[in-house]
This record gives sequence, C-alpha cells and structure tokens, in this order.
Amino acid sequence: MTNATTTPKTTLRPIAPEAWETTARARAQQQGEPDWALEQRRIAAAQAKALGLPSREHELWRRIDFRTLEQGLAALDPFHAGPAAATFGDLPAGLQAVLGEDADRAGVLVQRDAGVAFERNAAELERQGVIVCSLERALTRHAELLRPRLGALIEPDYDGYAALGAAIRSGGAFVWVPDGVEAALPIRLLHGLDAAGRLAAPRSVIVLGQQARATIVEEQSSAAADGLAFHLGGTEVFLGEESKLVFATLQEWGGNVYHYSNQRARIERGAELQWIQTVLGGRMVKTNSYFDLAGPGASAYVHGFMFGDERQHFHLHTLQRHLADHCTSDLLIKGCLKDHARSVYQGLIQVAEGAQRTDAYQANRNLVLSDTARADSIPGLEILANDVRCTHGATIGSVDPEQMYYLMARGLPRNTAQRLIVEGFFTPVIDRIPLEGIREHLRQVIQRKIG
Amino acid sequence: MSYAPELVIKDLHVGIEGKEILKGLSLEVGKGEIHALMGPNGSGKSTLANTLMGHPKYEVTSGEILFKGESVLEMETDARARAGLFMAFQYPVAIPGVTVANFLRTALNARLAPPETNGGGAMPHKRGIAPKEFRAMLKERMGLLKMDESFAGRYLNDGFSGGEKKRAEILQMAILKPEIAIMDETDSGLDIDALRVVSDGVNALAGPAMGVLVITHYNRILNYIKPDKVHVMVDGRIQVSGGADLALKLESQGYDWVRDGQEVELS
Repeated sequence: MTNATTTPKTTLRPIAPEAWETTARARAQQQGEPDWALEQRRIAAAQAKALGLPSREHELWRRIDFRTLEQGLAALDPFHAGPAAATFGDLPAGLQAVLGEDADRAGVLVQRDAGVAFERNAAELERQGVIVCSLERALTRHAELLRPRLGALIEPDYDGYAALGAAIRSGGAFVWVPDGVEAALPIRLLHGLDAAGRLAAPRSVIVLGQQARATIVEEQSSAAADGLAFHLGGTEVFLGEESKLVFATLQEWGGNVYHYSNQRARIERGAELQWIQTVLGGRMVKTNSYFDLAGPGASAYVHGFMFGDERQHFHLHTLQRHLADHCTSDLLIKGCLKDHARSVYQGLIQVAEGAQRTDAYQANRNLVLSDTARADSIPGLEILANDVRCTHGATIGSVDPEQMYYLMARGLPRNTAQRLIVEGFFTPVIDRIPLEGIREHLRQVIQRKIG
Repeated sequence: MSYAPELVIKDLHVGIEGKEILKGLSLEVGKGEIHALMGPNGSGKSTLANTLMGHPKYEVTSGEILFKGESVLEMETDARARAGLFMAFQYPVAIPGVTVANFLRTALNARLAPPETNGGGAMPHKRGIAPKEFRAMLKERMGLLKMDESFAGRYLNDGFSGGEKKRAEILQMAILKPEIAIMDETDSGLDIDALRVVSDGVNALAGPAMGVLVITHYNRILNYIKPDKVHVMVDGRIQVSGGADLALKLESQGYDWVRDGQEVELS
C-alpha cells in the first residue's frame, strides 16, 4: 500500500456549498468561539475547496461507494440541531433507552443531529476535576486546553471530507482527565440522528493526563429513515504518560446513514489504550483509525467487529504507527457478512526507524454467511527498524459445516446453530466491552441480525 | 410380550461420493441393552455412526433406519437428536467463543421444547429449564465425570485435551439423556484413567431407559463397559454376532478369521 495520506491529483470535484462554511463560521463566532478556532475553520474550508471530493482512484476510497451521498450532499442540512433537553428525562425515549439504568452512573453527553442537546457531568467526576462537556462549551471555557490539541492529530488536509468536517464542525465532546486521576465513573457519549436529510460533523477531543485512567463509551444510533443522512466525525485522543484509557465506539445507525469518521490516538510513554469498535449499522461506513505509539513502552490493544446484512458496506482502515521503541500493538478485527453485505478491512503496521523491539500484531478474521456477501482483507507492513516482531494474518471463510453438524447433532436447529457460531465468533471482542448492559445489548443485536 | 427394539437398521447400503461403504448392514438395539460393534479400520464403523446421525456427506442408497418405529432417513440431524438419538463424536469439533454451559443449556432446551412442538403459532408446551435448575444439574453431572467446575465456563472443545473432549461428550450425553447413544470410538486416544472415568460415566447413565452402541476398534473399553452383544463388522457388513466372549476371541485371534468367512459356533 502506498502512503495513505497522498491523494492522486485528478479532476477536482467540488465537495459542498461554500455557503456552509461561512454560515458555520458566523454561527460559531456568535457562540463565542475563539479566533484561532474560527481561523481553523477558514483554513479547513479553503482546503476542502482545494481538495474536493476524494478521487475514486484514491487507495482508501476505491473500495467504497459514496456516490449516492455525493449526489445528495448539497441537499443535506448541516446545521439542524435537536432541541436542548433540560433534564435527561426530556430526551427522546430512544436515546434514554441507550443508557438505560446506567444513565445516573456516568458522565453523559448527548448530541442530536448537529448539536449537543444534553450534557451532565457526574458530581463524582466533577470533584475529581474530570471535564465532560461539549466541544463548543470547551472552546469558550477551556480554550487553552484545546488549542494545542484540536486538529493536531487529524491533519486538516487529510482529505476533502476531513477538511469539510473541520470547516463545518458541529458538536462533539471534550473530555479531560487530570494527571493521576482515575475517573470514578464511565463517560458516555451519545449521538443520535433524528431524521433523514441531516448532516452532523462532530469533533471530539479526549485528553488523559499522566497516569490518568478512564473508560469512555461512545454510542451512535438512529432509527431507520427514508433518505440520506451523513455522519462526518472526527475524534482525537491523547494519552499522557502511563495513562490508561478504555475507549469503545459502538455504531448502530439506521440503514440510511452514510458514515465517515477519522479516529486518531496518540499514546505517550508507558500508556495503554484499549480500543473497541463495533460496526453494526449504516448504509456505507468508512472509518480510519490511527494509533500512534509515540513514547517508549506504549501499547495499543485494538478489538473491533463488524456485522453487515442486506446491502450494508463497510470499510475499516487501521494504522498501527510505531514511532518509539519497546511498544506493543495488538489488533483483531472480526467481520461477519450476510445477504449482499460487503466489508473491506485495510490495515497497515508502520514501524519507524529506531522503533526497535516493536511487537506488533494484526489479525482480520471474516465469516461469510451467504454466497452473495463478500469480505476483503488487505493487510500491510512497512518496517524501517531491524529488531522487531511484526505479524499479520487474515482469514475469510464460511461457517464450518462440521461445526454445524456437531451442533445439530445435539438437537440445535440450523439457525440456532448458526447463531451460536456467530456469537462465539464475536465473543472475544464483546468480552472486551466494559459494561455488561452494552454487552447484552450487542448480543441481542447480533441475534436479530442473524434472524 | 413382543420385543420392540428402539433402533432397527435393515439391510443398509450407504455410499460416499459414489463409493459404497456399507453393504447391507442390519442391526437392532433395544433400550436397556449395550451392544458393541467392533471391526478393523476401514470396515465402515464411523460411516454407520454418522449415517445414523444424518451427516449430509453420506448417502443412503437403500435399506432402512427406524428409530422408535419411524424412519429417520428424511429427518435432519437436529430432528434426530431431539427425538433422542445421540452420537459421542470420535473427533469433537471446537466451537470457539461458546461456553460449555451456554451450549448445553441451548441444546437441552432444544430437546425439551423442540421447535416442531411449538411451531405454527401454537403455545409452547415447555419453556425450557430454569437457569438455576440447569446449573445444579450441570454441577451434579460434571461431578459424576470428575470434571472441575471451571469446565462449564470454557469454550466448547476449544483447547481441550483428548481426554477432556471425550469427557465433554459423555457430559453432553448425561445432560441430554438420549434413548439411543452411539459411542464412536470414544476409547481412542484415552489413557487408562480417562477411559475408566468415561466408562464409569456411560455405565452410570446406561439403564432401562437407554440403549448403547459402543463402536470400537479395540477390546480395551469392553473391560469397563460390559456389552450384552458383540457384533463384528468387516467390509460394510456385520459378519458375526455373539456374546461378550466374542470380543475376547477377537483380542486373541484378530479379525482375520472373520474376514476369511470361517464359520464359527458361538455360545
């Protein structure tokens, strides 16, 4: 694979109405966004215009089809925000149900469409100095914490969509865990898309100080709707020295949603990131997750799964970037596809010069349940150090008929046997998810998808 | 009172990829009986076991298999199992990510409340076993097979030793309580201690409610499980049947005399 960040120059395809950027900036200014952030928007808008839509020849865009979105993009509303809720109980029942009984035991932030509708930090977290708030609020209250970080990991010229997202940024969360603090409660970030025709471009910044610890669960869900909706997200995660973060991002959009997001994590010396990603919903879903092992002894454990049915199409791209010595990265992405669903996993391990004693592992396992479904796996290694251990592997297969026979020989009907095998296939990833309520929910979604 | 065997196999011919393996095999196993089916490698023992369970690879070209008086040939594997037919696998398959406990509860519920009894919108007759009751049952049966409690939480056959796999097969039998159990070379790969535990388990479960067909290459397991009848299978057919002493004769004289078609008087 070539360098993921180079875009072959072809005919420029304009990305979105220029009015969006000016409107977005005017609104942000009104909300008191600092000048440097407004300037970021302006520069990003210029870049979006210069870059245009990603070329279909681009290595990271060849295997996913965003044409329907491209045609409908200009008609979407990037400014509609769901009404603010004074209390958690004022939120729509569907969003409340996502948190269920755990709502009181967490720092909570809820975004509806293009704006944060509800934020409530828990008193225990507040006492610890943990900040959980909307990015907009953070830009007015904690600007000095954000300034060196917002946009530091997602290059504003990464591609046209990323630039557009930075220009029309709407919502997102800011989480700050001070040095030495172990966050007493999990932090739950919710995002709902209320209807078709909406575009949300949240950008979140997560910061853990030295030796800080936290668990963050980000959930994205919407009811199925007629017509397009687009989630254009970005998350930047900073792990201070010897900190530890469990970050789970669970995506369950309705079948009308296009999803493109960039996730970046920078992991300093001795810090550990546990990253969990599940992809269940959406029409076309593309995510780029980059893990920078930036200080000696840093580690990243990445576990993800996707389960596609009907005509869902997923493209997950990961990059394990070893920039320092003695770092560990361990990645496992599992995919299960049925009906006409399709998945592409494209992973790369990069080991920089001098990143000796690197231990990097990348595995992609796929289970294809129908003849019309398809999974592709594109692993890659780029190694510039000589004392490293890097391995990768990929498998694509259907359900083993001998497993089916064995289970059926114990009286399990065919669909029950298949459900058990698929559940078992996902179990190693589900077991990583921090909250039992979420684990149980995921099992139910999987069961429903298997049918 | 007429004798009505649970399992009746009549002149069974079975092929795989066009090659005939079973060539007119007949056998009857009744409840409360223990039968041993012995034979050299390649005689068709495992083909018989898997044909009884309905493995899709094997094609029945003629003959009949009756279970409780009804033909099973049109039944899928799972329906045969729910009806009360069980096979302990020679090579149990690993199902990663599925715990022994979860699997067994799912299997037991399928046997207790088969989908065919509650399909078509009818009210289910039974709702399956309560979790608490199941846990107690599992603990008790695992004790019988001298299995550690942690076994229930392990993934089915995943990383199990040969002995653990065979024990897990017997555990499944103990939970599902079949009416006919086929042990497909359950003794293979077991050391003497494991063989004793497995045999003790089979003996404890065997009784008036269950018939057992022990398929084996060696005599060894028959020192622990005492058969009522011994059948010798060579080249896809049962050549000789007799009492427990037939196994002893096989041990001392091998299979050649059967193969030679020698007429033997058996007590």
